[in-house]
Amino acid sequence: MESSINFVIAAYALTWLALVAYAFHAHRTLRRARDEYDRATGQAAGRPR
Amino acid sequence: MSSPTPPIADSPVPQAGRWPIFGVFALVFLVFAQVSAILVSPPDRDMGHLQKIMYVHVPAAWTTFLAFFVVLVFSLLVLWKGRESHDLIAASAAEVGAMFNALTLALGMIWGKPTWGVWWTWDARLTSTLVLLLIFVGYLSLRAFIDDPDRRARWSAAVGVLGAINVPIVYMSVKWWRTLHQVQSSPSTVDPAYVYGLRINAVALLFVLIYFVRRRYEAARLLRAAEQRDDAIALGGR
Repeated sequence: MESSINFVIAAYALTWLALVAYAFHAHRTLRRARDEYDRATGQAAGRPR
Repeated sequence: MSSPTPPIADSPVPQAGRWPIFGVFALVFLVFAQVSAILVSPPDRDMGHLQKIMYVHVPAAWTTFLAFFVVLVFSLLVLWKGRESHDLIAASAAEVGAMFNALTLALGMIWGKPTWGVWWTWDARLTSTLVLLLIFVGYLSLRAFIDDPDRRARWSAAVGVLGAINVPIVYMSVKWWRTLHQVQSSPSTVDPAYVYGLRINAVALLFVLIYFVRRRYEAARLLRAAEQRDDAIALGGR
């Protein structure tokens, strides 16, 4: 009984670990992409890099 | 062969809009779905509380299939129409789908150990799911190695279509071969006491999938737009 609950806890913990890690990865990638876009459009408008 | 569509930099770059709010809603809804499913469903006669792993394992598998269906549809559109936005949607769905695929396998191993006595066995369902993951890891690796956007789009679309064809094989594997894995878990094959938990968690992960794919697509569009601006400047345009 106690052992089976440990497997259940491990499954839910792994699920949240995966989702939070991916959310962090997605947000970091998006922030970098937005910075890159801002740099490129600033360059196109003649603003300093 | 060049893309018949105008450069992405000429089309509107996606804005964050209300998507961050949707992301928070998706995570809060997932918490509600998991807690309510755990509290509402009684322990299984044979598996006891281990049955509750079903509420993360099965919806994660369904979400994987759905993500790769999106890859299939948009890969076919890439091969048909050659639009770059379709390629970026397919790539975004493939990355999110690969994450859910890996999660499905890991959760299956956690469920398998106490029920089957082993973490892994070369069972048809497990093996075909692993093959599916490897195909989409290959898809993402291929994209990383090809610089030309047009070639990258067409080649990865071909791999995306071939990879998605494996989805029905994974789904039907428990019927086509003698496997250790049980038949497909769905509202028609599980006890009515577990249907609510299965459905609400599937909806919750669907929201998470939509959110992740949208945000990855947004990042991909921004990067391509930045690259195209740089190329235009390098060629002397503004």
